[in-house]
Amino acid sequence: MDIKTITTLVFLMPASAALAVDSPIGGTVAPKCSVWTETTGVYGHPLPYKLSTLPADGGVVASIRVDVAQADYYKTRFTHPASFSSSPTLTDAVAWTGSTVVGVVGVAGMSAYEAAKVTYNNVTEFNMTLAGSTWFSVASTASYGSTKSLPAGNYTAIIKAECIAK
Amino acid sequence: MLSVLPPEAGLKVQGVYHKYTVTKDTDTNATVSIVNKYSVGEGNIYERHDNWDQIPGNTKIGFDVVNPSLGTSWGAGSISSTGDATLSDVTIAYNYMYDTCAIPLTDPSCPTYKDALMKYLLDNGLINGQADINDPYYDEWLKFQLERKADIKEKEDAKEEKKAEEEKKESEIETALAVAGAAIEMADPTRQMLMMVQMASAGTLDVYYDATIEGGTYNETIELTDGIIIDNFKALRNLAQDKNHNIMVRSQYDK
Repeated sequence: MDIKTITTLVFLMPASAALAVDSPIGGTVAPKCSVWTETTGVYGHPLPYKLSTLPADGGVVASIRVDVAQADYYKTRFTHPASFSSSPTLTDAVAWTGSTVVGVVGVAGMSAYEAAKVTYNNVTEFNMTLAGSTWFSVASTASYGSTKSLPAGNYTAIIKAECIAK
Repeated sequence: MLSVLPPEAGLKVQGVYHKYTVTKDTDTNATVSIVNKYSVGEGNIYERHDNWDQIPGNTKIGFDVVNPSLGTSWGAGSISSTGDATLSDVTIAYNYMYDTCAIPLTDPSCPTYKDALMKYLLDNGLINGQADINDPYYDEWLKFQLERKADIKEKEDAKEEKKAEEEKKESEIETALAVAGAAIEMADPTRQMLMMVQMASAGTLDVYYDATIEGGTYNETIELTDGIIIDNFKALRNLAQDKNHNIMVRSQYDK
């Protein structure tokens, strides 16, 4: 009787050990939307109170490329500046304007992004319905205290470009 | 296309880059086509058609990867638009790779260089012939001939060395056999007698056989002046050491 009991235990022990196994599943998510600054914007200084990235004002418009690997899964959001990230001390208000437009396209159909864009405040959103690269041009203008001269020094402002899953 | 692509043999086109600006109204239709014909025969080796129907004009950039194909097979290329659109700022660029070993003779580091050189020499009868100094591969021919001579000499040297080694081996065997034979002969008493006779007949033992010792008395020449012979302790010590040494040597066999 004792021998039988022991035999049963010997067979049961491996079976009970195999009942609880944590088997991990690994995976890596590669980004399917990426944002790249191709041309850094530069402020021109056409008037004492004004900074502008427009070529007509001596500036350089920023060019940001968005690469989308999977069509119709993302939207991009550009926020043009509403403040300086660094500047001399300013004692008066700054009036900001800006815009984001579709620049060069990688697929002809992307040309339609411009007409379908959504703009609010200093934000512009594009619905990325096609896979491929799209270049966006972001312009920014700052006017200081109506027509007050800007203090001498370095000015920096930040464009925020995001790729957001829909 | 031959005026666009470099003329090097083995050049393969592997991609086409394009950039153009199309100007049109949003509510019109247009198609932009980029085409390359085959250099020989009908059809297009590359074609792309961008549909600009009902969308605003813009600048477009693109790069198409194509299956690598010889540049010589790429014929005339064109870009055109159909519909209500105009094209401007057009750039078409071909991405290609150049196989430096397409003609193996151009580079000695090419894997098939030796085969190609051999074929060239064979085709032009230069294996055993004399190359002209103006031959484009004269230096290669000269090198080949020098290497060939060196190779032949090396083989001959190796052959001679082998032959010499074989001869030397044979000679050693003969000598060994000869010594063995002599040993047997020397062990034979009859042969020994004959040898002694031969040696004696040659006069080599005559000096000893012919020596004459005269008879008479030979007196002692050494004299002891005081009648005492002093022990040679040094010799005795040596003898004692010899004895000890012998005991030590023998002791290892006593176990």
